[in-house]
Amino acid sequence: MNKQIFEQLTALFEQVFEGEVPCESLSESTLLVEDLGMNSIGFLYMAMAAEEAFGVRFENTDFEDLRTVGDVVRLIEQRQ
Amino acid sequence: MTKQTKKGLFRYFSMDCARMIYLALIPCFRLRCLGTDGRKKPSKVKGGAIIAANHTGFIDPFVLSTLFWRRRLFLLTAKEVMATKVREFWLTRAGCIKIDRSISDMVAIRQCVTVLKAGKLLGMFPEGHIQRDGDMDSVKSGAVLISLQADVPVIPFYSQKPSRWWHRRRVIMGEPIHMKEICGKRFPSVADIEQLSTLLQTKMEECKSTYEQTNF
Repeated sequence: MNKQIFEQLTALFEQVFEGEVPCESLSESTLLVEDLGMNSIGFLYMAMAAEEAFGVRFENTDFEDLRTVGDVVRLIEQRQ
Repeated sequence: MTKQTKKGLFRYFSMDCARMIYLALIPCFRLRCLGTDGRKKPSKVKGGAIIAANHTGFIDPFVLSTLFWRRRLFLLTAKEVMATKVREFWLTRAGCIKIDRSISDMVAIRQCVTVLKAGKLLGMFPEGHIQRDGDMDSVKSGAVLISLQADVPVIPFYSQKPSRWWHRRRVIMGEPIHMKEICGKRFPSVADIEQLSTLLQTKMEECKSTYEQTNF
């Protein structure tokens, strides 16, 4: 897993979820829905913010495979 | 949307043909546009904007399109409405953007942002479903998200079926809400988006109460 992307993504999560998500305890295996409580709007917003921050594109089918923070990092890494 | 994104002279041909139908609908609806102060208001909107309307029935998209017939109005349409290939073919060409409400439809959101950034109008029903009695349900965050992403204002809108068929159809159009200016952050938090959605709901309810006060 790319450490730099992970750190940037953690910083982004801190801005986007502002105190709602325990960002200090984020790890590769943190589950997006179960641990972070992300809903469909949360997914959309995360994707939009990540698109702007990393210059990548998310597709609808990507969300089916995104379970953990590590999955998001790997997807961004692939697309970059 | 595939046809609309193509460049060329006939890029919006089918949409413009549909606008001719809306033009013919003007005498049927006999729309009267009022502001939140209850006074007559011209239905002119400049540049890209989201029209956030309540949804009382399948006639609403036609009401919106007729009111803004001078402009190319795209409409965010549920996937279920485009159930058949024929419907999808025609609706897409008439300016409908298909959205799947069961998933995080990134493609639809991106299409909406693209049309708004191109200075077009986007009509949507932020409640997400039909509310036949005219009451307001909770507003979903989609409208705010798109508005923030495209940096365009959201215009609250309220309309209802007239009590008598021969009555004019009144529509209430609120003042534009500049979400990005209100928020003032590059990456607003989810809490900010929820707050802005509540603001939009309040403004739409204001439009509804104006509609009820100006009942005649």
